[in-house]
Amino acid sequence: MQPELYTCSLDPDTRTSLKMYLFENVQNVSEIRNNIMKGIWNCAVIKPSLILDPFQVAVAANKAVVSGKYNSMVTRTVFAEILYNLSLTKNISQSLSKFGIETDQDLLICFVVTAEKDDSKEILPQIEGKQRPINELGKFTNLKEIKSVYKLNNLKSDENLLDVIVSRMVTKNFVSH
Amino acid sequence: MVEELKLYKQGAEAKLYICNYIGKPTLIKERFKKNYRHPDLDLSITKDRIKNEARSIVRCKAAGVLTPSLYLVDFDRRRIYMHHYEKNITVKDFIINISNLCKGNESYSLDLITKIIGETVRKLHENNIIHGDLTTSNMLLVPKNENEDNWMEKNDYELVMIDFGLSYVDSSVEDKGVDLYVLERALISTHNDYPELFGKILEAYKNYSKNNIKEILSKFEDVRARGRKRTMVG
Repeated sequence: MQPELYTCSLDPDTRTSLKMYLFENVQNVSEIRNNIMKGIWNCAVIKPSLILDPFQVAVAANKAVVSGKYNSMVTRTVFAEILYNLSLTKNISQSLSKFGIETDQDLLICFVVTAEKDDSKEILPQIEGKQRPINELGKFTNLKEIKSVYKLNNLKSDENLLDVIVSRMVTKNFVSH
Repeated sequence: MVEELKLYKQGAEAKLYICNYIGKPTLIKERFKKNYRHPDLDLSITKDRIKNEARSIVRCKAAGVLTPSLYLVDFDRRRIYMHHYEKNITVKDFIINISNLCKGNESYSLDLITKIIGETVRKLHENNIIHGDLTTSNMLLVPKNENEDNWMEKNDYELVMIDFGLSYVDSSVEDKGVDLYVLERALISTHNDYPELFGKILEAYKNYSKNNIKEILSKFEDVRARGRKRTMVG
């Protein structure tokens, strides 16, 4: 059976895990956006075209929950922080518009869950789109866009792109890339 | 759920732990507090070293030098979380045990490894990365192919540079000369049974790129004549 979702434990001190699902042809994108921006839904939606591997989101989410624990978040919610951490710029609104969705119909939706609290069961049925197994993410990835966003065009080789991406993401607060 | 950290190594500056973190084998480098330093100074030194280390690791990747990937840089806990190569051997241990590890192939292996080291150090310097602590303990060999069990014997490995805590970015030939000198001294003291190592490394260093090489080598000769510290006269 193909895995529907991607899940992994985040920093043990935060006692949280990440759950991520892939959807295509979503019809109620603006409703989803509104619910997230108003804080009604606790989740993040991400453009799948800019994600090379689910681990990239795991690193961003992990940094977000760790910052949350130490009160050093740059944005107001852990979910906005995930989008901010994915981007290399320190400009919050640019980060959100780059990695969040506007009119796109394909999306990744992420939840940060604990043993006590998991919002995914309530929210997932309200996504009007077709769920795809997470290992089909590659079909949605746009390598050219990724290379431009993460400034990867001058690299010596295309091996280990994911390594370069996550290493740049976690150092953006003190290195200019 | 308690964090299970296994102490892996302990150095003068930091403790290394290994664990599974966000689903990956991870090495945590924790720079512990030094009680003999003023707390403010201690914090700022630690922060600077963490930044230097992370900055150089990222810069190396763009230069095509393998380094462990960074998963989290955490100033609050004084830690860098990075990829842990589960199969690895330091170049130091590899060379010391080379007669057992590469039976019959010894001289081929030494030629190969010195070539890789020379080229890698050259790549660092071409990108103005000064490592600051070039020793064979700060170089790891890892298998190219994870599933190959005889990777050492078959010389099927890649070189990963580690421990960038003393590194910085500088374009001067002086600092590159000193970096080479540190490596030469380290090789002499660790591998005195293979006196030809440094010469071979320097040969590969020269051949990899001609850019600025004369100046670097002549600076290296200066440093060799006077020692690592610049004389402070006048």
